[in-house]
Amino acid sequence: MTVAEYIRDYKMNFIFHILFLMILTAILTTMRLDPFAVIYIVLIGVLLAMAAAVYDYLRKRTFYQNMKACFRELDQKYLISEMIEAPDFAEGKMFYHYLEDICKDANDEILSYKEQSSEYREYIEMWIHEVKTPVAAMKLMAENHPDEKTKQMMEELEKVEYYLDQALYYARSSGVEKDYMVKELQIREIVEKVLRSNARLLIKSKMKIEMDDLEKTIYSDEKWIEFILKQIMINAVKYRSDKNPRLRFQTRELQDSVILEIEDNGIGISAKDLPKVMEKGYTGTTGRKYAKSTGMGLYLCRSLSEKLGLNFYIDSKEGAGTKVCIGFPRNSMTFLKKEE
Amino acid sequence: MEKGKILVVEDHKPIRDELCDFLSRYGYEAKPLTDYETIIEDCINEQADLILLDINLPVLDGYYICREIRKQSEIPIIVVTSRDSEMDELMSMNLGADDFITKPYNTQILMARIASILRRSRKTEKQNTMVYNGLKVCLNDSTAHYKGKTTELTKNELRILYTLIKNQGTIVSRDQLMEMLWQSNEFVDDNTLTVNVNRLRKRMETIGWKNQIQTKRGQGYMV
Repeated sequence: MTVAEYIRDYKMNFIFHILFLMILTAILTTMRLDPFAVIYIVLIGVLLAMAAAVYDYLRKRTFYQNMKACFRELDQKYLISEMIEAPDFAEGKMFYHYLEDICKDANDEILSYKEQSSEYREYIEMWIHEVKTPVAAMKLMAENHPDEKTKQMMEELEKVEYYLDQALYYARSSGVEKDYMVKELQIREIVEKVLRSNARLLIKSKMKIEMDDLEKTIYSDEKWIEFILKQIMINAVKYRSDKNPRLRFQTRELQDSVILEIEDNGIGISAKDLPKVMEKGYTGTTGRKYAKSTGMGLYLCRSLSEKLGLNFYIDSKEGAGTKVCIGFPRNSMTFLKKEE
Repeated sequence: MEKGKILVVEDHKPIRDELCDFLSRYGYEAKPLTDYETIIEDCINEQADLILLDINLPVLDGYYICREIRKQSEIPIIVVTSRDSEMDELMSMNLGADDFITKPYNTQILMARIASILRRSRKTEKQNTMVYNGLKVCLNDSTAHYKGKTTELTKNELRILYTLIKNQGTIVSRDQLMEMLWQSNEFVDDNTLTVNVNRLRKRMETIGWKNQIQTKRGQGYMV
């Protein structure tokens, strides 16, 4: 609140006061008082009024200025009432009282939603783990009785497993908790692990694997990276080219990061779809044309990467292939290592 | 062939039954333990070679069982659970488990882990050779001996020969062979496999082991 604002706000007070002083002057003059005495009285009136206004202004200014500063710095604006002190003037008190109530109400509401969503998340995670047991049982049964039908069942069960994992990581990616663990990882080892666990799918689709220069150390969560790589690989298989499909893993080193590039020679993504492929639920034109797409895979890759502090981006040319890059930052991580 | 005794601690009956079935088919002696009140004593008294341990169990928690067994015995433990976070894995390892596998597991991976842990835990390592119709294959130094002649095999050739002989009499599909090679981080493609098999045949011919690997068109290979 500036002085000008204050004066504008209280202009009626000032006008009435000036009016009063004018009337007083007129009355005193008609009473034939010494002109000096009149001026003296009026001057005292003016000074006292000004003193009252300045006092009032300063008192209010402290409160509002303080509030403004807090407001600017606060991340969560609804916590403002915790930050400011109650003012000592009546309208301020009323204002503060209501503000307090509003903030408390907002906080309660937010808390209840947080609780709800974390309870829901816990339930989903528990449910998924629960379901994995019967899935494991069914897979074992299918494997113990090998024939055409159980082979098909096996493939269907593997899809169930894949969707379960997607749901699990979706629950994890949207939670506020940081439930990942960063440790030292070798890019080669993690790529090999993902290739091994998806060998059947890749061999069946005749995918040729190329690996180049993967002897790099990164710091991240193993399980999450595996999940991200698996999504990318499944996309590469889904949208592979008909002849000589190829999947290439290589790294590139920048000054402050290691970039893992996963390049395929598949059908690619059209320029129209490319900016939107990482949006939740976006299936695009090819997604609908080729294989069933949920629009979740890349969205999850991006949000998990964001949580892990990785750089995730996609480059693609329709008909030529897709290149997915995952940038692992190094500066902060090496710093972390030194501290240990 | 007696390969070892494995205890299965798992409260989900279908999994327990199928797992025991599966392990027996691979030549292990599988024994399910279901008395959860006395599970720790049972595990130790059974004198087994390995324990497959579930985490979510009635009465006692798997982590607790793991820790208690470890206090009294060095028997290898593989924790099998549907909880799959880094945290769960770390916790199992800290409590003394030798390996950690998440449900639903790939049975091939489970078998590989069991085999490698049993190999590691056995102090008296058996000589790793296999014999088939006069052909002797040494897995340790990667050589093949036939009628007094010897040839060296590359890693991939050894693995292919090993798999074919292990499955003697049945057709091994090209995909199966590739999967097996992939499990040891050799990510070969179709062409490479053909080349490998042809090289293996040539090499085996040099020691007189001719025409033993048959090609079954469209199906795979067989010895």
